[in-house]
Amino acid sequence: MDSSKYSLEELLILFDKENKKVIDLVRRLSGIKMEIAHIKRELGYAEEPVSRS
Amino acid sequence: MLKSQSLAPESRERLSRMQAMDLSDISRERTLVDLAVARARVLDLTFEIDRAAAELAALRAELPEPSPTFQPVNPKGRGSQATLGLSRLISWRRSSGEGVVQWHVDEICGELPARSKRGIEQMVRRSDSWILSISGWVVPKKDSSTYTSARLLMAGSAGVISRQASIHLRDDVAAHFGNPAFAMSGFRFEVPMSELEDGFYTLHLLAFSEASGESRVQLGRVELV
Repeated sequence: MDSSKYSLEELLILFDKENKKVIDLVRRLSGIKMEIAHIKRELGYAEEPVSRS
Repeated sequence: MLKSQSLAPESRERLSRMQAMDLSDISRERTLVDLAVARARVLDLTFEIDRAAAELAALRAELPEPSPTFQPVNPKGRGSQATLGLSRLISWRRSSGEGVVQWHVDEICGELPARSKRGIEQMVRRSDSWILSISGWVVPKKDSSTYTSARLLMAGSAGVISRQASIHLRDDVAAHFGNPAFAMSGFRFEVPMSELEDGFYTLHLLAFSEASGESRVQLGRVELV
């Protein structure tokens, strides 16, 4: 990306869009991990120990 | 501060302008760094999601068949959900789910696509994003139960790319149709740009529900440049 083409305002808008994507991806990953845990329970796999550190 | 107060008014004004410019440059640099970090995070998360999705697909394969009413789309049994090819896409064209599926695409790479009778039409610039994202909702027209999973097929000149959807909560869709079962009707697909070549892609949505089995609908077309 040629950053010199963009003004500060445009860069802030781009950053805001990327930030929203990050939030959405984190939510999505969390959803997939929950589904994995749910299927593992359904299949009778042992729960992985939860780290206390 | 004392120094600047001792300056002539025009010099003070010029100094003030310079300070403002410096702050703007600093903000710009800071934003560029933040933007780079956010993009790297998007890339990391995309890879992590791909790994998790592969693990999920493997676990799903271990589960027993979801329902005895499930009917594969291809009656000849060629191919499978894991190896979707053009032959299967052609069979879907013959057995279209148009008319039994209601859908809407909210965004493609953050932009609301234009929609005509032929479906959505959208041009996506590769340089705008690391991933091609498509979000929206899908519900069956007749059944009261919602779709439990969805898959996107992107048919381009190099072949067909298939992606499993992540399903999202859409309270607004459930409220609009007055059917609480439609609360989990939101879908989202993400395909890294690195996996896509420039050109036109025809988008097909394959939705599955235990009540009605598989339905497919042609969403429209995306041009990647």
